Amino acid sequence: MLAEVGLASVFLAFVAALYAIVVSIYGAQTHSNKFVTSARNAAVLTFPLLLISAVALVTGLITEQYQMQYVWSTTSPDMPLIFRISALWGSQAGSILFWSLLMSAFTAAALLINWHSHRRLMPYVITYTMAVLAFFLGLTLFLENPFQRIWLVGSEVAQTTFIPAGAVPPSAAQLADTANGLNPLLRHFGMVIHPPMLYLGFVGFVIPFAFAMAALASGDLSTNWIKATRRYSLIAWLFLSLGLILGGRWAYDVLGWGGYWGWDPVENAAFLPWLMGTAFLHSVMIQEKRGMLKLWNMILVIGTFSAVIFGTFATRSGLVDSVHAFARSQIGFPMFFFWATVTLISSALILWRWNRGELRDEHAFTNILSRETLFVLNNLIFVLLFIAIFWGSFGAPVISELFLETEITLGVDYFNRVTPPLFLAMFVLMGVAPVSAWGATSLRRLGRAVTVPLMLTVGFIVLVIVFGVTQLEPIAAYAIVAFAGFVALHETFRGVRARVNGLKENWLQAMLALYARNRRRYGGYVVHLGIAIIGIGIIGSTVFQTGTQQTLAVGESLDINGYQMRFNGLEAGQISGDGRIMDIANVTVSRDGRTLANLRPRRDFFPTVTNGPNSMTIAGAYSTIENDFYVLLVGWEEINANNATFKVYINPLVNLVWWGGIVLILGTFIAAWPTETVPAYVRERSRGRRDKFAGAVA
Amino acid sequence: MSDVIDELDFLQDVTPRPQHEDGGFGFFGLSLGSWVLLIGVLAVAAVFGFALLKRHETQPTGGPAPDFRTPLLNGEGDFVLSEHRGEVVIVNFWASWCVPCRREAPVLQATWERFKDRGVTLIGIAHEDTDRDSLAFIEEFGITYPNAPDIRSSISAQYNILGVPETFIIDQDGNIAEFIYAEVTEERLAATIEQLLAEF
Repeated sequence: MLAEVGLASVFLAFVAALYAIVVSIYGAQTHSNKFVTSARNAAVLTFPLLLISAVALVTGLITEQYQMQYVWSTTSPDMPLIFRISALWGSQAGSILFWSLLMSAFTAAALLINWHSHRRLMPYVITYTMAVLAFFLGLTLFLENPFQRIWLVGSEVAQTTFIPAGAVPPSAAQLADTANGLNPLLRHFGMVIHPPMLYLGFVGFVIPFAFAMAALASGDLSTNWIKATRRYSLIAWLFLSLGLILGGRWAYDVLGWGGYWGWDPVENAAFLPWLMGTAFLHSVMIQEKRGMLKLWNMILVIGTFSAVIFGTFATRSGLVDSVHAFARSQIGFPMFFFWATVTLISSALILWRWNRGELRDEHAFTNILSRETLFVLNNLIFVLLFIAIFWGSFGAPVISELFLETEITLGVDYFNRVTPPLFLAMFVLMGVAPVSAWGATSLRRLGRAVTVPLMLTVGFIVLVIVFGVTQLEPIAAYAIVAFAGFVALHETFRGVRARVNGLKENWLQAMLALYARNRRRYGGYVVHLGIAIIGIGIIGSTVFQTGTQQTLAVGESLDINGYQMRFNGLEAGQISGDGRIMDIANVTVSRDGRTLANLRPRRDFFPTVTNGPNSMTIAGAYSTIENDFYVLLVGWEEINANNATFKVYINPLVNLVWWGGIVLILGTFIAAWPTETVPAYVRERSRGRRDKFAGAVA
Repeated sequence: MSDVIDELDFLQDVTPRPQHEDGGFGFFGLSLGSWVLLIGVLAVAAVFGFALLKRHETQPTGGPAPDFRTPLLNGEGDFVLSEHRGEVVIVNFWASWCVPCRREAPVLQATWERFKDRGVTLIGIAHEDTDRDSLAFIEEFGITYPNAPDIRSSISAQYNILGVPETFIIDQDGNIAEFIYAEVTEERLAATIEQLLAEF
């Protein structure tokens, strides 16, 4: 019953999306409000329909309906509730349904909220969002159906949606015994939130994309589409950032290699839209303020969405080898054609409008030292980063395999050599651009504005040297990143001080008022500060990571960076509630003779999992502001449990990466917080019209 | 009521007139440069499409078997497939961590013992495995047929395997006679081998 309900509502949502596409196009052609409204209603309807179907799948997962193939392959009787729920996005079929659900939610919200303010764009927005949704629903219906059930036909096992002739369901006990269980690597709290965050980020960019396409299609190439989608872009960007940070945290906790970012193609696939999206968030400001970069903004928003689809396609089709790609599956070619079509149609539309001269800028660049020039440089660097990372993860491996008969995989070395100069250049601009003026800025003015941040940076560098950093390159990197952070802090401080002096407010009032009055600007500075904090953490933990690997007998200790770690013993073969077998090492970490913590690094083995990875290495970590003491249990003698081999890392400043993430979230919230949803002139107009209508009725 | 709403200005959009006429060479309203760009986008997409096609190549079920050279796990020289022309060669991909491989190992060993003196070679390729684990597996099952590591997954890439166990039976001329995408059974192996031996 659950499977039928779920499938039927996916099918209805698919039909509704197709209906909305056809009717919105017709409505736009014939200028018929009735048709456009009907298309909107159908588009909004996809959300409750998909909600029903997701609820049906989750109910199946929670109530252990193992006859449903998806439930059988992603859960097992010993799994706790939270992982049953997160199994919704634990495997391909469910995650596509989940993705569609989030997309319909975003679309419904955008259609309802912006219905009155941007009606001219609406028919096209409906067409594009529903086309994307229909594609994903088509995948769910025809290729990756999470509602298939397992049947016995004679002695053969069949997986079909509808009951085949003469089929009987297998016995419940047999199904429960053989059920697979979620990939162990995904049984982690980070994995409960990381995928939804990432998907929200990906899916959210469909809104700016659809509005941009609507602008191109309708010919309304003013800043309307940007105004309508600014907040959606920010929200999508926030979720994407969160997804990336949580993914890093998950890797750090679960993958057991001592780091949080491995330049793996799947990670890069999620990072690429972030880069493009960040460039977009910045360059739209120039269009809003100066009417410039119209073409460029179109390219960026379409590039961002194209990168989202490309990443989804590349990681789910087996295009590149990766440690955590989805299995090679049937959706590779449909995803590829979808990506290619979206990219080609959007490129053609942009070029068409460009050739008609409708994307020309209203102002020209006048001064090399102006905020718009610096923003363009910022964009250039983001795009260079995009190209470098795209080439390293996808371009080089694919082209070498096609044309050179060998597969060249550019590893961590490539990324660690190519990207840091670009990231640092980005931080330089992050420091200078906020203090430069629109139009033109003089060197003297710029110099005055950066004096205090520069002094703070010098102080910071003294501190860095006192803590023992002596090499020139890391000091320079710290300085550049810290400068960007200090500029953000100082600009905020100046704003607050001006209010305190001018309006006689107290400091707290002044700060709150500052954030309330110019959310984007000052929220943006908080985001900059968060990024700078993350940058400091990344430099510390990448450049200064130290590690050792040693085999210890029970009672022995190892020394690293002033820490001692004593191996107290191994608890082998502990069986946990979900059936995993854990080998846990007990170690004590101390410094200067003072005991700091008892850590339990462990290795988990999942005997019931037969396909895919069935073990994982969980680190033990002791965190301080200064660094993380991070220990992994890598091996042990099976015969006597007296020896164990440990890999120990000291990861300096790694916690700043997570804390910076929290600052970034806070800043984005400030920037995206709604002030008013409908522009005043529209409210005014609609009120007038209502009065007219009321008058007519009377 | 409906006329009030139908008058809404948002639907009265008129397609804007072109602000200038491009004097240059072009088709369908796009200049030559735009066409070049568009074709560039198409070319990039095509590259990825071809790559995907290549990635989705499946295991060969006929034709010449891809040749490979690999050092044997027991250290006794190299195994070179093309040096075994005139013999039936069974290439079995396995791994110590693979559960079906454990059930398969005795079957393969029995087949090996039955046919080894009749012009049949069996080579095990340990896929995504450590040498230590592979050797322990070989010892556990008393395997005497040659085994070799799949260094940098190069052999499995040539055969496009999706997982383990997968088995290829290669005839005396070096062509693939049969591909087995599951656990092998002694009957199935024996049937193919007998047939190949009879035909040769």
